[in-house]
This record gives sequence, C-alpha cells and structure tokens, in this order.
Amino acid sequence: MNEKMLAEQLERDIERLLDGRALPDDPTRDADYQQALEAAQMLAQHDMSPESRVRKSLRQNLLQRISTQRKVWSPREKGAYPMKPRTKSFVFVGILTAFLLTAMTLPPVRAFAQDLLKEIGPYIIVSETEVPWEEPPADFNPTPIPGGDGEPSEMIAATADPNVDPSSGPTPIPSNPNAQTLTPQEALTQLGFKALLPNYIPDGYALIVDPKFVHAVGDRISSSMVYTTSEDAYLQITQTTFDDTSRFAFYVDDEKVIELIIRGQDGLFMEGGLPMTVLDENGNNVDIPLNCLMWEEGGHFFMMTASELTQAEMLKIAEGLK
Amino acid sequence: MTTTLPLLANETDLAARAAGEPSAFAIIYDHYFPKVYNYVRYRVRDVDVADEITALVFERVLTGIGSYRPQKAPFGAWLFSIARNAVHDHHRSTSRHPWLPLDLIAAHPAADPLPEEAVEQKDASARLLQAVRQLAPREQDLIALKFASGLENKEIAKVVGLSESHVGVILFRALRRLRNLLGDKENSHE
Repeated sequence: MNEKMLAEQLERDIERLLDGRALPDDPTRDADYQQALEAAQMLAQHDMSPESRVRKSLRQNLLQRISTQRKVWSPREKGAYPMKPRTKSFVFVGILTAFLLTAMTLPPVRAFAQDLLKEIGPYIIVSETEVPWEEPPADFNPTPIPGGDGEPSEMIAATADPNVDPSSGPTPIPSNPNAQTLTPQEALTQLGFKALLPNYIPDGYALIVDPKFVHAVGDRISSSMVYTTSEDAYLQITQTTFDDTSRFAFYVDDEKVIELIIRGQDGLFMEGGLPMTVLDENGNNVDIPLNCLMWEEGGHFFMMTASELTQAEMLKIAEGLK
Repeated sequence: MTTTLPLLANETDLAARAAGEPSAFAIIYDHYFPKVYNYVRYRVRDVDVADEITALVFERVLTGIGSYRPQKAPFGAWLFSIARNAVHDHHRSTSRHPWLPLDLIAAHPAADPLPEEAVEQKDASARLLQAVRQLAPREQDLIALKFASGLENKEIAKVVGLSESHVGVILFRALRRLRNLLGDKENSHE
C-alpha cells in the first residue's frame, strides 16, 4: 500500500473510532500505520469540553438573545419609498456621508463579524443578512436632517445653489471641528492627496456636492463625489486613506458578492451590498439597498455606490477615474 | 469519554429555524459545543482563552445562521470555518481580544467551574495536548478539525482549502509523528 492508500484506510478507521466502534487487531498492519492508528485512538477518546466554564451560561445568554433580537434592516422593492425625490437624494448624501466619516472614528466592529468573505481596504466583508439590533455608540450623533416638510438641509442648500460660496456655508455633515475641507487641487498641493476624478459619468448624472469635496481629519483623508439625476438616481464615489489597524464590517448576503478585477486590482461588486437607512418626508426610516463596488489601489480605498447603475456601468466609471 | 456525537438528523431544518427559535438553536448548541470547544482547545493553550473563543464562535454562529446556505456546505463545515477563523484571529492578535463578548460569560458564571489544573493534571490528557502542540500548525489544525469536529476528510478539505487526498496524507503523517512524540514522552516519564 502506498501512503495515499494508507491515508484512505486510516480515514475509514478513524471514522469507526469516532463512532465509538473498536478496531479488530490486525497483526499484518504496516508499522507506520499502526503508529498512526494508536495516536488516532488516543485522540478519539480525548474530550476536554467538561473543563469549559461557560457552557451553561453561554447557552443561556444566546437563547435569550434569540428571543429578544430584531432586524436592523430589510430590503424593499425599488420605487417603494414614500419620499419626495429631491429630499431622498439629499437625505442620501447626508446619511451616507455621515456613515462614511463617522465610521472612520468608530472602534472596530469585529465583534459582530462571523463568516469572513474578504478583507478589502479597511473593511471586512462578512456573510450576513440579518444581524441583531445593536444600539448606536454613545458618540454617534449625526447632524439632524430636516425631513418632515421636505426642506433640504442647510448643507445641501448651500452646495446646491451655485450662487452661494460653499466655503462660507454651514458646517458639513457630520460636523467635526478638526476636519478640513479642500478642493482636489488644494488636497494635492497641501496634503499630497491625489483625488481621482471620473472622466466618464453616465448621461443625466450631475455632481451636486461642494467643490471642496476632499475632507481631512488628521491622517484620514477622503474625497466624496455625489451625483444624482432628475429621477433621483444616486451615485457616490469615495476615495479614502486608511491604516491597517482598524477594520469595519460590511454585512452582506454572500450570494451577491462578486470578486472581480477593477483597474488591475482585486475588488468586489456587491449587489445591494450597502443598505442605507434614510428618512422619508414623514420622518420615518426606510431602507434602500445600493449596489457597491470597492477596491484598494495605491494605499487608498475606493468605494462606489449607486442606486440604479449596473455592475458594468459602475466598472466603466471606475476604469475612467484619473 | 468519546468526543463524537451522532450527526443531527434534521440539521438543515434546525439551522433554518435556529435564528429565531431558541429550541432549535439549543439543539445545535448542545450538539456542537463539545466539538467546537475541543477544536479550540487543541489550538490554544489557555482554558480561559478557549472559553472566550468558543463563546465568540457561537456568537458568530448565532448572528450568521440566518445566512447559512445548506447547498454550499454541510452545516458542520460552515460552523468549523467560523471556529477556524476565530482561532486564526486569536493567533494573529497580540493581545487578548478586547472585542470578545465577555459579557456573555460574565453575566452567568458556571455553577461548578472546573479549574484548568484539574484537567491539565490528568497526565495522559496533558501529554497528549503537549504532543499535539509540537506538531506543525497545519498538522495541529487538521488533527483538531478531524478529531474534534468529526468532519470527513472531504469536508475538512473544503474548510482548509486543500485537496481531500492532501488532507488524508497530512493527517496520516501527523498521527505517526504524534505517536512518536508520545512514545518519546512516555519513555522520558519512565
């Protein structure tokens, strides 16, 4: 018998041992095989679990959690959002910007991760469609967004009006006294941060953010360009620096994660991979899944989110960044 | 004394219900806790750390079980992928896990804790663990997966990303080596 055949025989014998069945004596067994089998017999009889001190308490806690948990989000059908179109776009911008910038300052959320699909940039992609409700951190305090009467926020009002000087406008969302806002050119000359800009954007999409769309908080620098259409289709392209010490989790349905090459780099496309909770005109939370493209390039993390664009269109935009 | 338990007959159905049904999750927990604990215990030296990692594994199982897809992998393979990742995370970290759900453990201390020494002082058990830890990390991993989880070699192959035959040969060599290590220790005790 060669080694492979011995290994196959060993697997069969180990299964017998693990089933609690004894193996008959066989004086013709190969000496090496006999050694392996003796070790397997010892291991099969070895149970260390009685030494655990948490078995009962952990069980009790987990079962309690099942009884009390509730969902964070559930995707809805497209077009089912009872929100004025313009308000929806503005709320998108505010919430997503708040999410991205706040995420930079939060501690890692690895405690909630389970089935790791991939690590990319500062994010770990984990397989999950439903997670237990977690109260937001005490310091999570995004700027309130006017919703009930459909009035756009102060920030958006300032940036949407070309006659208003954005540099003298109100504080961006979320406010951070240490944050700098710069134009791409200023970011390049002052911080050495080269914000990649698209040379292809699908028809109908218009940039709606402040020309100073590069934000710097300490060593963390990010650019964030937001485009919308008259039909409220939404597109955002972000580029951020990151370090290797913090990780943030994306919970996704692993069946909707596609690994691909973006600009020569490993990347991911996640269909509906970034569900966003936004406020409708009545002040209610609604959940909207965004398609998401992400990759790491030159030490920067890139993420593109879009409400209506396909993977192919998003890839075309990504390939056109310069 | 054996670590093996019969396979759960309706495992897929239990997994589908476990996210929202405590009784279904309890069956899975009771079946897999010893297996996961043993796997983790083979991979880490400290009893408390083994408890913490095992707690983390079941925390992850609970939060992820709703997304488990039986057509992709047997439930045991899915669960032990989580366990393996948790152990790898531990080995990668330089400090104890500040992000572990320790509140799960602290809130309900076990009524009859079993001190580490009570187990480690059992000579045979301690020697076996010590010998396993002299194997290469990959050999340790495969032995822990095989004897703690009871997974078939083809399932282990999926978990660790090797071919089935490669898993079998590594296990065969590792067990031979383990027996030799144990023989050496037995001789040194005499």
